[in-house]
Amino acid sequence: MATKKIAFVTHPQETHWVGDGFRVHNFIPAIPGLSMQEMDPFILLDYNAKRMVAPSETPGGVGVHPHRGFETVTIAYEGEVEHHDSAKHGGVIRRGDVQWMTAASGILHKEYHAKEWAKKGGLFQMVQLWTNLPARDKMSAPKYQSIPNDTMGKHILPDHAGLVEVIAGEYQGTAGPARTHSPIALMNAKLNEGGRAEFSFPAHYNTALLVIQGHAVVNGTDLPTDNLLKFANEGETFTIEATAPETVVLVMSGEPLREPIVAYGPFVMNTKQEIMQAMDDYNRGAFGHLED
Amino acid sequence: MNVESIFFDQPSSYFIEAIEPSRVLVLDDKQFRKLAAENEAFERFDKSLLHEHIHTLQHRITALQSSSAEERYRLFTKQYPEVMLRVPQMMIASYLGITPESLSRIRKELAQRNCRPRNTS
Repeated sequence: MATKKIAFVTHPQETHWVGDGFRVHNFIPAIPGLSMQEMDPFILLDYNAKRMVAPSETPGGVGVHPHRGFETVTIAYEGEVEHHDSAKHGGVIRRGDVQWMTAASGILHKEYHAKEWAKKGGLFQMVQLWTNLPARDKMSAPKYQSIPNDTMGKHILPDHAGLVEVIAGEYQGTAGPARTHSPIALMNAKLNEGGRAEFSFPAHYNTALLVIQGHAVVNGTDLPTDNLLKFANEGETFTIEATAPETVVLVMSGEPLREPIVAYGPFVMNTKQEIMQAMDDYNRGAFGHLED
Repeated sequence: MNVESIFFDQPSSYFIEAIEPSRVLVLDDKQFRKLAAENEAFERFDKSLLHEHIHTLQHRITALQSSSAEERYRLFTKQYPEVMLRVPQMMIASYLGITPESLSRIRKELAQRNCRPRNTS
């Protein structure tokens, strides 16, 4: 086992609004070195860094929009997000929870700050990660996995170092509840100051870290809050060490699908024809209906 | 191309609003005429633009006169398949000459006809 080589560390770039509720830094695919092909199977990473949301009777959010061909993984670190979709699913993603939505053949949905939460406002921090689906699963039936925090795998680290919260994949024998369509590991390293956690993922997996809170040192490289570290496809192991109290690092690693990617807005397919078909299906109502 | 301004020197009755990050090249009528006078390729391009413009207008008038709102929506999405994803529905409704409520109703009816219930888990 060799030490994983670090490709680069990047600051967040300028923010943009997604609807009127989510003010995000995009990492994947906009930042050079983090294209869909280079981060395969991770095809989008939007990060709403910690900010205060003023109380409001009309919750901010994004109106009805379609998705096809991939999954959206929403991680709520602070605040609450409410969602509804054309298959009549709906719910609230609360602080610490994850929603893993497999859009697959297609769904219409909308997402907002949760109504009751928005009335009081407060700290809001969220990650939305899109994971690509293998060609064979792109047109499968849509589904949801609601992953409340208490169902996640919790691996307690020795010496009061903290814990690793496993959403998907496995950390030293502790498995996460999410079912994935290709090998994907998604976990939060929650470390006390001076706490260390060691990780190992195959060299060919695309692997990145995002510091949600605190400050980390990874294989000797400084990683401040809101910064992303991308590993090169060399070596397997790395150590995250927290150099600030209550450090939280999101760890993502996935086996690349190595299939052609053709993306247009909310559709991610393998060919241009499939994108044209998705547009036609959306226009003729095949995704169903959802009131705004 | 704004015909009122460029050919008839009238104030435009339209305005331009960017609804996504855009880069727009602006040519005024003098630059336009100069280019057409000095560059044959541009003149041909200008002429084909004009023909295209008339063609589009004719289609739109015919559709407004003789097609139902649903037919107009279907023609529009065939011609511009990606626009529903990028333009707010109230703007599309205005282009189609219907109310946003009518567009929403049309889309709902289409969904009832064309969305087969899937097994979701």
